[in-house]
Amino acid sequence: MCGAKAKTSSSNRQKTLKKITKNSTLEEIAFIVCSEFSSIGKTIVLTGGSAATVYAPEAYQSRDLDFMIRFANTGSRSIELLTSMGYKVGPSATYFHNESPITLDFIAGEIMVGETHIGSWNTLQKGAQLLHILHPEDSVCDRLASYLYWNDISALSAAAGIIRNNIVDLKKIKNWLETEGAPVDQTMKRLESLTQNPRKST
Amino acid sequence: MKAKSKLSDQPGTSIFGGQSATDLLLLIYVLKTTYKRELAEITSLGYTTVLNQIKNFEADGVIVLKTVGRQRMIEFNPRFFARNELEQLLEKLLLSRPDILQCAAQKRKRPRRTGKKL
Repeated sequence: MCGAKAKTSSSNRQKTLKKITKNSTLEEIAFIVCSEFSSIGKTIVLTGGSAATVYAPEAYQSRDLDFMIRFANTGSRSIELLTSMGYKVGPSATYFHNESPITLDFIAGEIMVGETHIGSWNTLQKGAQLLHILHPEDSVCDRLASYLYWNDISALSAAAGIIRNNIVDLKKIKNWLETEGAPVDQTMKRLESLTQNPRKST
Repeated sequence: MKAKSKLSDQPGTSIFGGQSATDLLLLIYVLKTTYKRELAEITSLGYTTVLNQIKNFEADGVIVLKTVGRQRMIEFNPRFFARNELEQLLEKLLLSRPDILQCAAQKRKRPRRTGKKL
C-alpha cells in the first residue's frame, strides 16, 4: 500500500518535472527546483540577487540561485533529486547543471537579512509549480544589506528595481534601516532617486 | 581639448570647475574607494583627463592615493579641512544627478565566492 502510494507520487513527479535546458530562465529554474524540493517535503526559499531578479528582471540579472534550506543538511534525497534534474556538485558546494549555466547554492540555517531574522516568505504560484521567495520588502532589505556592507551601488540599484516593479511598504524598509543602524535618510533618498530614474538600457 | 563625460548635463554640474571634475568628484564620493582606470571606464572619460583631474584634487588636498598591491587607490582625504561640508554639498548634488548613481551601479563591489563565474 505504502509502496504503491510512493510509486504514484513518484510518477506524478515525473509528469510535473519540467526539464531544465540551456535556454531555461532563472525564474523557470527557480520554480522547477523549488517545486521539486516541495514534492519531497523540503522547503527552500529563494534569497539574494536571484530573488531580486525574479522581482525586477530588467533591473538586475543574477546568474545563480541562492536558496535557503530550512532544515540543516540537504540530505541524500535532496542530492538524488538534484542529480535527477541534471545537477552535479562542484567546488564550494555549488551545483552545476549539465546544460544550463545557472548554478544553485544551498545555504543551511535561518533566513537572516542583516541582523534581522526572517520568519515568513512569499509563495508564488505558476500553474502546478510554486516558488518560496523572500517578501519584496525583505528582498529590498537584502539588497540594501549588500549596499551597506560593501558600498555596492549595483545592489542599491537592484533594490530600487524591486521597489519600482512591486508594491513595497517603504515603512518596513525604513524600520529595517533603523534597526541596522544605517544612515536612513541618505539611503532612502538615494533609493528614491534611483527608483524614479531607472537606468536606460543601452 | 575639452573632455566631456557620458554623464548628463544637470544644474550644478560645473560647480567644481567643469563637468568632468564634478562628475569625478561625485563618483569618488559615492564609490568611497576607487582607482583611475575604474573612473575612466565608468565615465568614458579619457584616462589622461582622469589622471589630470586626480592630480588637481590631490594637490588641493581633497583626495589621497594609497597603494594597495599594485593599485593606487583613491579616497577622500579624511584630514581635508572642509571634508564634512564638501560631503554634504556632494550628497545634495548627487540627489539631482541620478546618472552618477547609475554609473556607479555598473560596478559590482560586493564579494563573489571563489570559483563562481562572473
